Amino acid sequence: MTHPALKLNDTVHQRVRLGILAVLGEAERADFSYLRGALDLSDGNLSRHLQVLEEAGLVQIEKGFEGRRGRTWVSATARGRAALDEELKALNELIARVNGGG
Amino acid sequence: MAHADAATTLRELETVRQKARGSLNASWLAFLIWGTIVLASAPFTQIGDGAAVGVYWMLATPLGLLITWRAYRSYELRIGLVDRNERLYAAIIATMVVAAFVLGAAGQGGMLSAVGPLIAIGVGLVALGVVKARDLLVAFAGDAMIVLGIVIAVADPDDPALLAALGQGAITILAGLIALERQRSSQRRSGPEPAKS
Repeated sequence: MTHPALKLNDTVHQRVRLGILAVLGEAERADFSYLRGALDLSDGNLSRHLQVLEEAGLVQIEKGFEGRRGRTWVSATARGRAALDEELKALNELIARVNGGG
Repeated sequence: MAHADAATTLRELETVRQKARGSLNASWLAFLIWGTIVLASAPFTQIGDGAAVGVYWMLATPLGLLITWRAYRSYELRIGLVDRNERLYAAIIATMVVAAFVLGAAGQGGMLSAVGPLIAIGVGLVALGVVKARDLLVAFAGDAMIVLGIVIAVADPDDPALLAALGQGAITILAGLIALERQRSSQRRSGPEPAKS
């Protein structure tokens, strides 16, 4: 049986990226400002992590305008939602395994 | 990865998710809009044989749905977070409002006109509370309306339509105020959860 720690996905497992996917798991889409505030990140830090997630096909980024103001919306792809579920499952298994002494 | 790290990560994630759910839970908007619409219907119950209140609801139902939809949309755009179950909630709300309207019309100003919409909205709110899974307030408001509807039907007062409008309006606005305060106090309590790399 594979150890649950080996099921953790390196791209998803990073704390900020996991936080981004967790927020997106609750919503259809979130804008850049909401993510930045909810996760207490700087613009640069959030952009960097979003780029990693987008390159991995886990999120979709749409840039648009509201009036003259630019607005960036981010949504989790089906693959991103599945990756989040897998990650949460692996973390829970890991805890259960340690608690069970396995 | 250590057990403690996994547990901490899961706790942090749950906090972030709860915060997102809390931001999205704006049931106070619908409660306050519909509470006002229902209370405003009370004077119309006193005019004629029920035709006036029928016309009122014929105009207020689509207008209320439109205002609710616009208010939610504008709220979501303001906070920067869009609910993924929006269509499901909209379908439940539209069904219960239309059912209330149909029952109100079918009763032709009698007891069914007074109690039917109350129970239809109550059942709809209980369904919404269950679908939203964490919103007991919505379900309680629905229960209160169902109980009020049954009490009015059993007591058979002289003016059931007026009592139903006032009672339902009061329950709805009270639930809206509680939901609004609940969201505000939850926002005051939960500061941003750091998830720095």
